[in-house]
Amino acid sequence: MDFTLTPGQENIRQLTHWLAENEIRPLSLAADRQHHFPDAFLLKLKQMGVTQGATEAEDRPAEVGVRRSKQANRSAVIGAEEMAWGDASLILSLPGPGLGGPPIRLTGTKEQQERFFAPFQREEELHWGAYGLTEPQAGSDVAGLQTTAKKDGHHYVLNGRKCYITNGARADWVVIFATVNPSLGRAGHRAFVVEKGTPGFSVGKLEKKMGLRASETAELVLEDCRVHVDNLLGGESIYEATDGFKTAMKTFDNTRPLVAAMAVGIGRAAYERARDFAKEAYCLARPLPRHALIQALLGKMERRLEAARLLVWRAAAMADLGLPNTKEASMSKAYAAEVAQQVTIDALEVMGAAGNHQDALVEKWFRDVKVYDIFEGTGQIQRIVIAKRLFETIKSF
Amino acid sequence: MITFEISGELELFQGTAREFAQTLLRPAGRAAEESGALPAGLREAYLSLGFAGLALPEGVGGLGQGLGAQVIVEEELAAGDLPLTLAMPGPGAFGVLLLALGNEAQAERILRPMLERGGRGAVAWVDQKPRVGTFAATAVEAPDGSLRLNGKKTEVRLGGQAEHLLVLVRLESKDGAVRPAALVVPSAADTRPSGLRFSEASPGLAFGAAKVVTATFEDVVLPKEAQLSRADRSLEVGLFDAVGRLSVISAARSVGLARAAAEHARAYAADRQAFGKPIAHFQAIAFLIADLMTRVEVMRGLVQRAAFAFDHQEPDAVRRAAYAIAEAHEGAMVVTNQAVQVLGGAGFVQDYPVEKWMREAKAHMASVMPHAVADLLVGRLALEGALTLAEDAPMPELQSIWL
Repeated sequence: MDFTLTPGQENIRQLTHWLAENEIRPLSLAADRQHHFPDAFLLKLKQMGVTQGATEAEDRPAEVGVRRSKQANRSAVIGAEEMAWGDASLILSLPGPGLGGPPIRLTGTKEQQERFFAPFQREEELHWGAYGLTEPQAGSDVAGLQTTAKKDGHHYVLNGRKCYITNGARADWVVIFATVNPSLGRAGHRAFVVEKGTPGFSVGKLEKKMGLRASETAELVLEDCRVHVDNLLGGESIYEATDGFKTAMKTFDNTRPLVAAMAVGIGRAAYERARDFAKEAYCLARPLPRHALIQALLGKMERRLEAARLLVWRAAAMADLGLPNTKEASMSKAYAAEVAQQVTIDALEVMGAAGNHQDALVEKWFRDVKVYDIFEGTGQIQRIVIAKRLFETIKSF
Repeated sequence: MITFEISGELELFQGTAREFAQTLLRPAGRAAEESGALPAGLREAYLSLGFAGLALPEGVGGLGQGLGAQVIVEEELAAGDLPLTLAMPGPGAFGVLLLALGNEAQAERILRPMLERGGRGAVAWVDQKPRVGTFAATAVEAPDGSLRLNGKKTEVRLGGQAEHLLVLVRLESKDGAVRPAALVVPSAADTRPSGLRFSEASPGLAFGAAKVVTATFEDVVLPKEAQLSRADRSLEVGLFDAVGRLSVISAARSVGLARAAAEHARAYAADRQAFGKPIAHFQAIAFLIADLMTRVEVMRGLVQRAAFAFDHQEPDAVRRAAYAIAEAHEGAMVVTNQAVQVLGGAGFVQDYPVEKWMREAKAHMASVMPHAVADLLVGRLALEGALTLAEDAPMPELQSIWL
């Protein structure tokens, strides 16, 4: 048992924190109001080497139980917490393949990986990928997706709507999940890489959201959209052995601890603001009974954030060791999201009107953090995942 | 490097403790609560494992394993039976305080024979009539340096069975200064001073197998060597160190208690049929149990992190101990309460162990400090950066029991 960061991780933590404090925080409120970070800033970050890669865990090794000394997942969650402390929507806005990356890496052929990852290698340009799973009628119940894919010669014809797609409008391509036969359930699912400009593929509305406003969230429309069979992820043969649904879910085992780490980062930002406010506003005046109440509340916020961080580290450490961590990843996501929400609520409570007006970042964090209990599996979905591993015989939900 | 894996040696300790706890402690717990007596051979079986001196330095005859090892063992023992864990022989909290407050010679003189004989120590902390800011029990120093002790201490765990008591007092020195101090008083039947008497308290919520007593000191005269002192640090610094360590140990026991309850609830839910299927198939139950299992992980994480901080002399070790105690005590209450809920009526009756665990979680919360007080300490560190004995130590008015 050891909780010491490696020198490399200590570097990541310090550098990312420096960046978050000095480069990201100053732009945070304006980006929230303008609903995007300036491209020039994103390019500057890219040239500094800050891309999604810096906060994105490497894939788990295919062979479960094989021990590797790799630190990738642990380093990633440490960096993600610091970035989110700066601004969480920036992480989602950084150029790169995004959530579309893991399915291509896990399932794509070598040719597909080369073709779709190529744009991200270009130094002077901004490129995004995206991940299209959720539909208006299929959110948590992704197995019930309704977008159809009909084989027609060398093409599949896609029809349907995708919603809440991060970077969906500006992405070069989107990994779209569709079904070749709804009656087959999960076995009928296929993953396609649909490229921007493909006829029949268009952007619907851009969502106006409660929080994470600087991150683009788009609706995507597929109307008789013809996608060449070369863009069927992994090629046709792999779907005979496995199914697209598994590809969709694998993405989340890798990213849940990362998302949980971001929630911890947002919560920590709010906690620190509230603590500093209390230091000035309460400690000088010291109305004792009220002071003690605030003091105990701050203590609890600090304690629960640390607890959440340890769950995140544990899930990440297991991933690095190649141990199955689905349960632990979901525990970290469910717990961290819950704690971070409560901490932002409590931070506003501690600061009162000042939290809502004078220090607008706190109200922003309160708005930003809510979605961490919703995206990449709601808190309820996480509990289903955990319960299925606690009760292996459960078939009813 | 961040890792949650434990060493092979620690795995061995863990496995040994688990087997002892599940095969000997768990089956004996219910009867011991009624009778207040240990089953024959249990004491010897425990001593043969070497756990009594697990975290004590090798210099006094311990195994020198540190707090990281102790929290793993304590969790296992408490997952068997918490009151019996407390009733096991050894220096216990007495040893932790003695090492924190006394010098090497005192530790060696008192702890080594105690470990060799398999004796136990006890701590007398809570004054029957508390006095704010200091201890009520008072020792007056005579011109020759001897000490005259008067006072009444309650909540002394198994005090009547201890060979030594560690008593926290208000010391009136011969030079007129008044300050807190710690004294060691012999308390075995044959060495006990005539002014020391024990009387049993009412049974209370739980811990029938590890009862607390009230110790009355009437003009007990002690030699000056009875006072613990260290040249390298004040009583204040030593007390916070000891409070921190004992908090972590106590928290580890809460983890064991909560784990036992969560696992019992899980097994019950997988088996118990209602509306034609096991109740685990209903999300109302499955989600609850998912939360209980998560909570146990959360508790364990903070406990192990705090133990690591003490073993590596990290500057924020006491703060981390406060995280651990707050989470563990709050969590144990939530988890045991909900475990009873999962069992329904079966949880309320004594055919199943969960009602016992729920009572014990609440009673255990009084050990060291309640969770709200621990949160308050963290908040005070966050806002003011330091703790002071008079304002922050778990002083007698909090009625903490020292296990």
